[in-house]
Amino acid sequence: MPTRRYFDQELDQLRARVLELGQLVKTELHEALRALEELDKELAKEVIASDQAVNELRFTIEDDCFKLIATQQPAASDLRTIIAVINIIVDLEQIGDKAKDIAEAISQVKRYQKVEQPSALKAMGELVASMLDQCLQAYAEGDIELAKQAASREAEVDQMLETVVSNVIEHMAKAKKEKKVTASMGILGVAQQLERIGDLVTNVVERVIYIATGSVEELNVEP
Amino acid sequence: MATKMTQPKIQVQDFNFFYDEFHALIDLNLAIQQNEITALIGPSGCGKSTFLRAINRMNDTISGTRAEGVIKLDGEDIYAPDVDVVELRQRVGMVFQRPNPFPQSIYDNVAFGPRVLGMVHNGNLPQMVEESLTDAGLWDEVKDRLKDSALGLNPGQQQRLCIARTVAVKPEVILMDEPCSALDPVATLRVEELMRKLAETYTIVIVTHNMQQAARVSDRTGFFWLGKLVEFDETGTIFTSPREALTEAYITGRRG
Repeated sequence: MPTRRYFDQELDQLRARVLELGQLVKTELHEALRALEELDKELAKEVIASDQAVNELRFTIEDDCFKLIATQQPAASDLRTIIAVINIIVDLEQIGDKAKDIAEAISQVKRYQKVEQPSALKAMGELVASMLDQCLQAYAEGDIELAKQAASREAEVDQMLETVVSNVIEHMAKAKKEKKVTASMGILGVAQQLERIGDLVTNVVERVIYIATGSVEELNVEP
Repeated sequence: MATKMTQPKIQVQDFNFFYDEFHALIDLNLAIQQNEITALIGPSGCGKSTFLRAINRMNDTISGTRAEGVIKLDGEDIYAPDVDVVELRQRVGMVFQRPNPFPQSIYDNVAFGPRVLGMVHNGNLPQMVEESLTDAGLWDEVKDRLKDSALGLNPGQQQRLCIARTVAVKPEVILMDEPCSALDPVATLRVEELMRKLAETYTIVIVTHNMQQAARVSDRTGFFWLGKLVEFDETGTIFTSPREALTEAYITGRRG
């Protein structure tokens, strides 16, 4: 008979809750990007409102972790799992915050309807969203290689940010209306949030690796 | 935690131990560092207590036992033919699972060792008793009733009295065989605090079934399984990222 069936069930439940949080954040990001593309202020409002559920679930999971530490005296991989979860949920919540920031920027972008969203911005959003999907799948399956694949795309995100910045500067230089400049500033802000989401996904990947190996491997460090 | 790796206080090399035909300890190799607390963990019957008793040759008193290999104390093999076992046990003292004070006064319990070993000179015994009781964290609680029977102390105090009795003969190493298993949680924590203090002066090796105790109190931990030392490392490493899957399974409570 397994000696720690209750504890194993609790750990399974903890993983399920982290994935639930991941799913909420993923939806928040996808919807924020859709709202941006369609300049849909109503959808943006829904995204902003949905962030509250992300925050609440994060604190519920944190509380679960504290209870498990206090009552089960976890060690080795059990302890690493719980400590990693405490960190992962913070990163996921911050990704949710960034998605909310993107949704909030939509009214700014919409101030000048004709402003052209750089194609790199859309590509950047799709890339970052797919990195998050891949990272969550890697966490669910404990797949280090898949996790590393997700993090390895961060450099592409950085390059896309540079492209978006140049495009935006170009637009701003040509802009004759203040509204157009404001909208361009909004786009720039969105691109920066997406770049930051890429960093946060990499943090989660580092924790997925830590759970499996016990060593902290800092990924994508600038030389 | 002491991190420098100087000459170990105790060096174990290819050590094997037998109870008649039963091979109880198999090819042990490890180094126990001076002024550190080394914890030995593992399931019942894994050999950890046998190994502890091998360090001061307490197993010699059991007929049919046989040791092979080397255990060096400060570089000298304690199993060499010319070793004085009484002197060895004075250098390597032991505290047992259940407090076992003699049915004498508190004072006489502590004075027993120095008297028997001829360590009393020029009226220094009262000072030795006070120092030992102070080292054991018991002086303030008993200084006004030194002539009372030791059997009147509570279990936690009795165990600290046994520690005072052990340190009274000025050992270099203290072996502790599940010293807190008969104590309540508060008395246990007092003994653990005391161990930290004692480690400033002595080298301590403790056998414990309480893994949290090993994690709390020791610098290094050795995990025994079926007579073998499966893993020996810094305690922080053993309890967060053990190298061996068997260690992981044991300390997470999934095998034992």
